Amino acid sequence: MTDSSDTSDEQVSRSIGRLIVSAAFVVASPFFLAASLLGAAGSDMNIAAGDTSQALPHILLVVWVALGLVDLFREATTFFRAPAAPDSQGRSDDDPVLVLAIMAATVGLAVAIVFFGYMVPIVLILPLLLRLAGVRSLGGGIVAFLILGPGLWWLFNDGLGIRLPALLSGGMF
Amino acid sequence: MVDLTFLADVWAPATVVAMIVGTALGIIIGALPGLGSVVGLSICLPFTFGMDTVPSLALLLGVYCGSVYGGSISAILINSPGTPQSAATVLDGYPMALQGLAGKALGWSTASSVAGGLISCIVLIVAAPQLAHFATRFGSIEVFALILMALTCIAAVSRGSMLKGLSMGSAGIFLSLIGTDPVTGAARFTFGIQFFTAGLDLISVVIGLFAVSEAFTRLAQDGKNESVFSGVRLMLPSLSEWKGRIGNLLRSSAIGCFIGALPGTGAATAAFISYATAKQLSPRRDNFGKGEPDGVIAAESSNNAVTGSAMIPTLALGIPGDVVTAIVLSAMVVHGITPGVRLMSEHLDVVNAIFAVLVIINILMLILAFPIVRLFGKLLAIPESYVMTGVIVFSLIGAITVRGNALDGVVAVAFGVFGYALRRGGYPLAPFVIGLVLGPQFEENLRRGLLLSDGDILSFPTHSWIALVLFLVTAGLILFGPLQTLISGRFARSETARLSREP
Repeated sequence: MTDSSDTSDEQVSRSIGRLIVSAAFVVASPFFLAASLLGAAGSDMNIAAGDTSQALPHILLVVWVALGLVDLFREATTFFRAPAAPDSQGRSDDDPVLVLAIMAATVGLAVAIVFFGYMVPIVLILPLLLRLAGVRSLGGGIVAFLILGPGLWWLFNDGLGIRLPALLSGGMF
Repeated sequence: MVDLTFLADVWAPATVVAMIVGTALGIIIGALPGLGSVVGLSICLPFTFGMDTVPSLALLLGVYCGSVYGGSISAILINSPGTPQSAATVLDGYPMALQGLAGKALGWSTASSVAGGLISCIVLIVAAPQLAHFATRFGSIEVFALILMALTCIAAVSRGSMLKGLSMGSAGIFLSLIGTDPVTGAARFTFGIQFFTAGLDLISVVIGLFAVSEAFTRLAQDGKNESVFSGVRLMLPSLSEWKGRIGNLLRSSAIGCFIGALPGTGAATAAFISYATAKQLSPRRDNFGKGEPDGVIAAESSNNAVTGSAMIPTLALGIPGDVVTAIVLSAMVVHGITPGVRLMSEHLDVVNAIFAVLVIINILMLILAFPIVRLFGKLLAIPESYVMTGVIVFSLIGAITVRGNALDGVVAVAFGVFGYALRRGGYPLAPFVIGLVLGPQFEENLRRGLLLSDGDILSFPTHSWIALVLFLVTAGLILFGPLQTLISGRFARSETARLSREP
């Protein structure tokens, strides 16, 4: 009894998730359109060149929002008819806290690489990422850290001659 | 007289190593559940930037072909297809393994994959130059109509609703237009940020959407495999065992070749259609689903036959049929080769080298399958947490090294989050990527076409018979979705009514 109500709740939350994603996807289009029309999107007009550069983007944004609204309406209708309809993709539920934590660590790593180069952020954030990913073995974690951290840095910089970003130009960090 | 100078590139040590490494990696990546062709290509992309054109394409094509075949190993041994393309192989491959015929099932799958791949190479070599020759008749309006048709086709056959597919295609084209307008030089949707003036890097977006979001999804779930058959040895079928099965092999390969050449359909569709056809026509149809080799032959020959024919529109027209060929196409751009209708005339040496490389890779698959199948049990012992963390780190490096800009890594991760949300929302990702790839060409040809027709877009369909046919097909594809829904709805209602009448 509890299991079936849990499954039903999960299906409702998945349906709500789909609705939220559809709504967010539709909202993105008017945002770009408004930004463009208000001149906030950095969309210069070159009148001397007989400007047509904004025509296609605007048409695409209108198509995007129109199709998105119809799809959102369809999703909403389906949701209100059967909120606990099973997911057609039959996927299992993700752990939201874990996903958000992994996403936050990955975003942090990517942003930190912009400011501090590859080596410093990877040394600091990769162990956290491995831990969040579910690595519990200390030996395995150290080997994975050495391969994916300093190992890849060495492979790309010295082995393949492709320089990864560094804090000090030409240095390891 | 055929110019054979391309053979020097094909037999260069770097190309040979790239083919062997790429094919082996591809088989391994394909065999590990969760790592498909796109993730494999995304991981290998950064290694190609320091390489010459032919070796880099050899590596990527090796990963592509190898991964399509590799999916069958896990499909047969652990009842979990390594790639979606091998989902149909599970139906008869795993029951064969349960009967103690795992080695034989792998043998049928390997032989069928290699045969299907080689047949598709022949089709590619014959058809691509003919199509490219025909494509020289295409002007701006025809190219615009062709891209519109390809995008509609991809949206129509994408998983999920056609509305979602079309809106994703529109969003993809829109995002491809961010940056500097090539005609007027005006900045578009850059929000005053210097980084965006060069536009979004396609490879970073693809890596994010597919590899990073896949890693997020897999890490958030608990991937468990069913029973594993370890210590299995691959056993190729003897010639006498092929008796009565060659027709199935040829028919399934032909289906794969045809479907592969259509934009957006892909190897999974080909495998299921071939499997269903074989089930109807095979004299052993009653055994299907219980461990019938004909089922494995149908699925594996057709999904590998897609690999060569999917390159036909890519090489002849510059139109990628799916995400995998879009990545190969973008790798060509990185190496200074502009895909399109003139690729065959301007870079014939590279095209010929691709033909030769594809043939060699298919033969290499046969050789490399033996040791990799024996390794499989050990490979599967690597926990997914290590593999997926590796995918994230490789994806970041891949994105960063394309243009040498660390901000591309942030773009990749941002699109990883975006891709994860879209997957949860049931949005197909392929139309988005194809829109992103074809967007600049779409706009360029639309604007040229408008100049040619004095701004009258309504005159496009009457510009030539080619344009008319392409626009009619596009209109048919748009009507396909609602008609399908209507027909299936009526069928479902009549079935419900029939069942309710029955006592």
